[in-house]
Amino acid sequence: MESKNNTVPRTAVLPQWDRSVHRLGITTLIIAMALSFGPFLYLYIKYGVRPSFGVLMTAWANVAVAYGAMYIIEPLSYFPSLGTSGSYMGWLAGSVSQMRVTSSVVAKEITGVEDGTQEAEVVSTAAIAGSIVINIVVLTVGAIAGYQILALLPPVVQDALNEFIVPSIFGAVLAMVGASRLLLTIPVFLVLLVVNYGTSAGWLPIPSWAVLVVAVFGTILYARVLYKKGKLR
Amino acid sequence: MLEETLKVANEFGVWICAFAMVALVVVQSTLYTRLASKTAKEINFPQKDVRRAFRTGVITAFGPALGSFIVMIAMMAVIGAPITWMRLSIIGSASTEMTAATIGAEAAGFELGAANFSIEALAVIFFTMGINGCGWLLVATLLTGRMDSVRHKIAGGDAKWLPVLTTAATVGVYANMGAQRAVAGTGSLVAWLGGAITMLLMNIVAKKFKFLKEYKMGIALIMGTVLAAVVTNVFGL
Repeated sequence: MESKNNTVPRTAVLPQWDRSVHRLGITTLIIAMALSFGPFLYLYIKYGVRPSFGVLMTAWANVAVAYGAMYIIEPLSYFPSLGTSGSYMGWLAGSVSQMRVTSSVVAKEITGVEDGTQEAEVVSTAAIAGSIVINIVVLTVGAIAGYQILALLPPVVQDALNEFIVPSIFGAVLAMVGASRLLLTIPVFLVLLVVNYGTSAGWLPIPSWAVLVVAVFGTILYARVLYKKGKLR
Repeated sequence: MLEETLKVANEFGVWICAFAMVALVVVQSTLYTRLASKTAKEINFPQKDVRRAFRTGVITAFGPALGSFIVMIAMMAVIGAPITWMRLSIIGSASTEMTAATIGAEAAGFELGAANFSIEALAVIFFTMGINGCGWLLVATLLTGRMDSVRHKIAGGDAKWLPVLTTAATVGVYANMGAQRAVAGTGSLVAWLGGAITMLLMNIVAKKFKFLKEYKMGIALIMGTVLAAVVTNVFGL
């Protein structure tokens, strides 16, 4: 990160902030869980559609096996980057790695706030909220006029939108966060390059959630070692 | 039957259900922004920086938001526009949702997009996507408070370590994400490199031209994408 702006004050996180954040977050997420079944209930109410309990439970079991590890690992892994308000907003709105953490990291950097302060919480919250708003706007335009817009885009643009935006974001964020910590970033990236090549090529049969766990907690451990040796600030 | 089912999937009632969820997301963001603004006043943090942070979020997320545009259209064709709008506005990427839908369809004995796709199958996939998303929602609801107190305990011991831990976690996540994409193909690798190198350049440039700071991410993204498009098309890779 760039050198810290020394004129930005550092206030400890206020307890009433935490309370308000949790209250709002828990309330909205519980409502979201209920609303998740809206379309399903709609079909039941309007058309009397009632799939068998067995089918529903099978579907639930299969999807829980596919994603269950992620339910727990992702919120834990991203918590340091997101914070509390960021977590409640991020796990409701989704797109955590592509839009929420990215926005939060950039905003904190350009306002010069320090991680863990109330100022950082404020900045991160506002940034994530901004990212959610623009995301919803784009999705809404897509839902209403998506086909028409798609027809106007040449295939080269479609491919670019589809395949290249995401990797370029990830490269940019890593460069932004890691540029001043090359001793940490470069070895970590090289190791993960090998690991990911291995899992995709098949000679390293590790599930992707396990790789994420190793990536996050391995990097934290490595950072701890460097920190203790005074090689990382 | 598929045609009738898709008609049902695109019905006004489903749009209403979707609207309720999308509205919830927007309301939550609005309330959190207001809370941030109010708290900023209490700690004498300038409102202009709060607005700047919000704007940065908008600018930074615009590119990635466009990234899911194509997939969204494809998804709409298979399961309908309103449910796509709803599911993509909340937790669950397009691929996660489509996988959940496929799993649901299979459990009901159907295939997505098959000619015999019935309303009952539609109900099952609505249910499956919904309950899958609840996984993250539930964990975030139950554990975020706990993770917060763990974080406070760590901070209590060594306040300087906390930002380092945060950065290390971020580095770990993005190094992994980047590595995953970089090994996926030449185009992706070029895009990754383009984004990374442009960002490094922008760090230097933005020191001189401070107004560019907010656009660093957007520019890096465009450069990476354009470079990858050029390389794959010009060199046919």
